Amino acid sequence: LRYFSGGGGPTVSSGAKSNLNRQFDKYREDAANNPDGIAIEGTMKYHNDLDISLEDIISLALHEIVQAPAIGELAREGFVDGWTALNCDTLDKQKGYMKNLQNTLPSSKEAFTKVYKYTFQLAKTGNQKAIPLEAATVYWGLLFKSSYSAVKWSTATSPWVDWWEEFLTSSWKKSVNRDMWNETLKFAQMTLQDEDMSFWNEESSWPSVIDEFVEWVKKNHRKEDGAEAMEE
Amino acid sequence: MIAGRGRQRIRPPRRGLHGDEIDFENTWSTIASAFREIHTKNASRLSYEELYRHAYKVVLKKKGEELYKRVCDFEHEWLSSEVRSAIQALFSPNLSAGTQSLGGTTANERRVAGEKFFKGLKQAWGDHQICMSMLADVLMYMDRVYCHDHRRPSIYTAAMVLFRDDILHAPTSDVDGKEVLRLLNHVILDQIQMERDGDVIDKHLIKSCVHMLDSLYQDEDEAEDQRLYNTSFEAAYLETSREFYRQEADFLLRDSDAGAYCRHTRRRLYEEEERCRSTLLDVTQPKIQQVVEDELIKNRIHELVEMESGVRFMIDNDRLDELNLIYDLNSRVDDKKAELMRAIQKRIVELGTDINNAAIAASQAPVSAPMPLEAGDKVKAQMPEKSLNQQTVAAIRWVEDVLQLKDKFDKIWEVSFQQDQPLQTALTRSFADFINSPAFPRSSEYISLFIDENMKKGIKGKTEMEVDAVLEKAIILLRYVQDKDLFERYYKKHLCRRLLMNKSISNDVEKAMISKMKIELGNNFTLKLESMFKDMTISEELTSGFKKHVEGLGDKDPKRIELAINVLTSMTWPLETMGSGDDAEGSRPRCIYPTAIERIKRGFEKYYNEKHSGRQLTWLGNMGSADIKAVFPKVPQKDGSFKERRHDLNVSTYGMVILLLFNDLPADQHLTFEEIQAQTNIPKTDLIRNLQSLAVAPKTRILIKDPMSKDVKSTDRFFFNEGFIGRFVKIKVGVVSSGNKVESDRERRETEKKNDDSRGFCIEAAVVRIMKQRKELSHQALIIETLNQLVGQFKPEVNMIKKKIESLIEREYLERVEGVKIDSYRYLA
Repeated sequence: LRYFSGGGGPTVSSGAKSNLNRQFDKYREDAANNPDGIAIEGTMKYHNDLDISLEDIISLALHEIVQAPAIGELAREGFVDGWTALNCDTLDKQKGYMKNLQNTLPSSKEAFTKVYKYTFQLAKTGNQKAIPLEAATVYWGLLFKSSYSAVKWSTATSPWVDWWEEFLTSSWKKSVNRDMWNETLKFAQMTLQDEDMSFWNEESSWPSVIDEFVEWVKKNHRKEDGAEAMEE
Repeated sequence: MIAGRGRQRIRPPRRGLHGDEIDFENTWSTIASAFREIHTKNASRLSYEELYRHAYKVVLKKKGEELYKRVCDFEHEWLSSEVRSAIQALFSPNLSAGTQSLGGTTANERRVAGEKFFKGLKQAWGDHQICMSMLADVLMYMDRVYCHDHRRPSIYTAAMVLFRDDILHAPTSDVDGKEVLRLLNHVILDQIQMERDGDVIDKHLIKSCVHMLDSLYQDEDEAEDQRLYNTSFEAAYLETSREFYRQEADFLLRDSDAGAYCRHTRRRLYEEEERCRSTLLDVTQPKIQQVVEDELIKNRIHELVEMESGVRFMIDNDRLDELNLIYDLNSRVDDKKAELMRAIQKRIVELGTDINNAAIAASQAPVSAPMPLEAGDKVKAQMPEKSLNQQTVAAIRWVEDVLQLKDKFDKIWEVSFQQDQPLQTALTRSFADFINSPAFPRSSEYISLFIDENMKKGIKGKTEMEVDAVLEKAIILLRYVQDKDLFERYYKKHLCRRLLMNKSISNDVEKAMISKMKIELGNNFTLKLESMFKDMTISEELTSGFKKHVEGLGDKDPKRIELAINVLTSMTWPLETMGSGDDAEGSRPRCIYPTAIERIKRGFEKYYNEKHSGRQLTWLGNMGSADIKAVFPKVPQKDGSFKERRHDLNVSTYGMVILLLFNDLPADQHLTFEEIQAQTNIPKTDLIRNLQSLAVAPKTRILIKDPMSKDVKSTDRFFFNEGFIGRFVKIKVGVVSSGNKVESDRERRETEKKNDDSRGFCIEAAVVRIMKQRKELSHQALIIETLNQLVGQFKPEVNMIKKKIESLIEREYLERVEGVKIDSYRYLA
């Protein structure tokens, strides 16, 4: 006979869960009106206790771990489940985990991608399908320029993030939907491997904004390259 | 018995076995002297039987090898002394003189010397053959026993080889050491060259020499392709011919025209074929043909096609037979006829582009100096008829010109290109190229206008067959049009006006056109057009039904207004193209109708709602017209007459609404523009246009405008014109600008935008259809399938498809499949 059980977790971590619930309660600002949520103040305090800055990619990673509903907001369910899954039911364990993450994040594309994709969720407000361009560029700066980033999107010869921002604010001027957000990471990684963007062609499935960006880069920043290619 | 049969053999007579010993030397000298007699043609005295017996005995006594060797030596001796000297006697300096070295020898002298040489050789060869066959008869037993057992060639064959070595391979003289064989080749080639230059030569004579070469082999193996003819003569022949034709092509391209070149080439091909038959051997035919085709056609076809008198010239001057020659030549060397095809396509696109440009030039011909934008509308109001008409003429001209071009090339294809399939495809492609050229976005509109013009005027008085021909013309052009959706849009617009304004000459012809389009473009294409006709039929029924309904009410009012109505399904009819299109849908201000009109309007609404509940009727005052009986009072006229005048005025609905305002107004009172606007609520642009036709147009000045000027301003005042004089009882007050004309640029942009929008929907629908069925599909495959699905309607830009896919991702109909090598999408149910 076989027994179906929901994994080994629940029984083991029930103690951990209550620890985490108690920890969550500690940061709440308004237990009466918002019993399962922490707003900006509590969130900041939590950041302080963990010794991480709210304006850093590590903070975004934290948001992802606890599946925060928005920047500077925490919700009980995500907080408890997130930390339970990582076996970090005390502040010290959490602090240790975050310290470790700071060391591993720059070299882990996988972890970075998770944070990157979740950032879109954080950046949009309510039921909107897209995030405003200004917000998107701020987050791109945070994600692609941070020293903890696994995808630092610029090289000695090509300041890609700056170009991307410049292009978007000067010619694109529209909001950023999820597809564009996700494809941008894919594109960024490919440009880092192939500066000449030979991976790109008109027939591929890039969103048209990226097609236009490629044209823009070629026109504005790649004239010399083009000439050299001709000579070859 | 039967089984034993196979073993039966003819045995040599046995009696000689213990016969007398023979003296070989004696016997041989007898044989040899007899052979000498044979060679000197004195064989008649000889006894075959005796000689045979001698040879037989020798072989029987195992002296076969000795005999064989002696015969060979004998023949060698004979050939290299007697025969060779006879041949050498035929040499003369004239013979070896090349065609180039004109040193005093005329072609005629060379020919005579050559023929003498041929004759000598032919004679020697013929003699040798005859003698050797006699010898072979005598030596039959040697052949059969000695040669067979020792695997030696028969004596006849050996003697032929000797002829080759002792005669043909002999030097012609001790000095230059040229072989007789090479001289022979040279002389044959020289004579053939003479024939190519127009001389008559003795073909039979040459042919006999050729046969000689054909029956001798290069070496002892006697392989089929090692005949002297092939190894020695034919190779030289092909090489010199190649050189000759290369030079001839140079010369012809320089000094002749393309047609003559073709004819010449054809003649050369025929000559060479003939030559192989009469002078040389048939085996050479495909090879020499290849040479001529290479040198005169394959290597030159590009130059030939491009000559000043080449394909372009032939097309322009309808040189059908010459085009046929080029076609024939080109197809000999190239199945695809690439050069000809390229030239033809280029010319079609050139001529087509000329037609396009002429149409654009014609449509822009009037003095339409660039006007400031605000003034644009007024200018349009003043001189629109002429310039718009000119554009319509340009459109019709374009259609006729394109058809004429098509006729021209159809004829070329039929007569000159032997209805070649690939060429037909190429022709079609080229026509489609210029018809759909991005530089000429008007094809759809022009074709629709062509039909429109014919429906309204063109087919008047034509027989059924002639009408059918006209419709067929339109269909022919329509086949080339890539963006069928754009055509549909224009056709709907034009049809809409024809139907609503009753401009169509024949409903049957309209329907015939629709069914032609249905065959050509499918049900989907004509669905909306057909429903327009259906609306018209239903409207007729509604009108008569309503009339009966009103009569049934019993209220017999002599002043009753009759209502004819068209109820149009809003999505089907391109109503925005009728009149004022600048009001966004829904925000159209409601016209205030006079009470009598309003009453009948309500009556109809009620009647309609009883029949079809839940449908909303929107009244389009800008599209209707009204017949009014107008009475102009007795006022003194310029011609002195003094009487009441009655006119039947046909005005637009808005015009009617405006005029009725003056019914209740004393004659000397006026209404300002603003008052009229306030009392009727007619949109400003419509009001201006209607007032222009009622107060400005000279023949229909039923109102007087103050101050009198062409432009209508909001401060103008209007009076009823009591002194109006009309020449006819029935007067039609036309409203400025209507009828189907070529669009203005602004209109065209709008049409195109609308078209783009509806294309967007089509693309999205196609993508969703495909993805729904396939669930997951790569980006490439999705693009291709989408293009395939839409091919009958239009050719979407790939970029547009891409944007639509993006939009579908955004709206979560699709998602990208993560972690796969090929970019793919998944359908989200």
